[in-house]
Amino acid sequence: MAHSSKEVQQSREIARLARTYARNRSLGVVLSLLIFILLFAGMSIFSYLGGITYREGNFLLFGVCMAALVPLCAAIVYMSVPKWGGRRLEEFANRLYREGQVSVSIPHQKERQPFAVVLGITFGCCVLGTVLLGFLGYMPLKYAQPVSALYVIPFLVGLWFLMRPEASLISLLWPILYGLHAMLIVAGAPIVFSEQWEALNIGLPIVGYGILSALIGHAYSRYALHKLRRIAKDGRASEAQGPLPQ
Amino acid sequence: MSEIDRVIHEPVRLRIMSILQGVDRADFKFMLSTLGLSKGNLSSHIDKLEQAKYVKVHKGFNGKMTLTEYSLTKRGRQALSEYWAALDQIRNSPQDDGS
Repeated sequence: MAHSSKEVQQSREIARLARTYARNRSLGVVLSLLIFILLFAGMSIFSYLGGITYREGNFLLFGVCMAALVPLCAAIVYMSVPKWGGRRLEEFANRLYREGQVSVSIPHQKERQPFAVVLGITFGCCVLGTVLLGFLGYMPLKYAQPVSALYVIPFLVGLWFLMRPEASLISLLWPILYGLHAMLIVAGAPIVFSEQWEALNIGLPIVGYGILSALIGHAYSRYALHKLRRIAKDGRASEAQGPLPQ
Repeated sequence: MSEIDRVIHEPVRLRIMSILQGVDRADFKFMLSTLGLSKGNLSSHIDKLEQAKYVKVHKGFNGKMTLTEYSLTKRGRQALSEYWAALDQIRNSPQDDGS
């Protein structure tokens, strides 16, 4: 009966590895973060150039910069809506997985919707509040990221909670790293950007740690797939399973 | 002694069911690349599982490309759990002394 024992063990391991692989497929997250970086970088550059050309009175170039901002803004809106750009991005990311498609669905999605709305609104209010505090001069540049960590971390954890079981525990690396970054700043580590690059104090850790945790998840999913294939093909080498127990 | 489900007991079908137990859906291409089978072989095993109502076939599109996905039915999930339990029972039974 040792053969049966091995089969059951392998069979359970296959189920576990398939789930681990599916939950850590994170190329879509990497891709969407990269696209948003490019779009926001484009917006920042054209806004900056627009400001310079306006102050210099070069209204032709100012008009060109403003015209360039329109498709960029439209692209950000398009990419932000799950049914539009989100779906296209998902389809594209799926094509990058040459081994095929697997999915883990999110149960009770409708029941979770009110929580998602509350989470989104709370996060939006916190961002707005921080921006206002910054404009009014109540927010020292040095503490912009640590203060943002107070709402970014609960938001990312809440997002993970909403996306369970589709999102794996590795996704929680994102808020953890963001929190560690905030602690380092409070402890006095020289990782604060000067006033010209002020926006990077929050933008870079958010996107950077997001991409890093997604890449770690991706590497883990490849490892799980490699193991899954090895086990799934292993049993086929000895195709005959032996006689059924009487 | 528990009855062993002969549909699941076949190694390839057991692996197909195990993969589907871990995920909600997997497509034909994923099954093919993971199990290392020929298209015909995989199709015939899937057909048997579908006939037993253990697996459901979903036809759809990913963009403009056709997509055939599989998922375990409730019955399939239960059958696999029972199969595992039956094998555990056989393994732990007093008759199983290797003689």
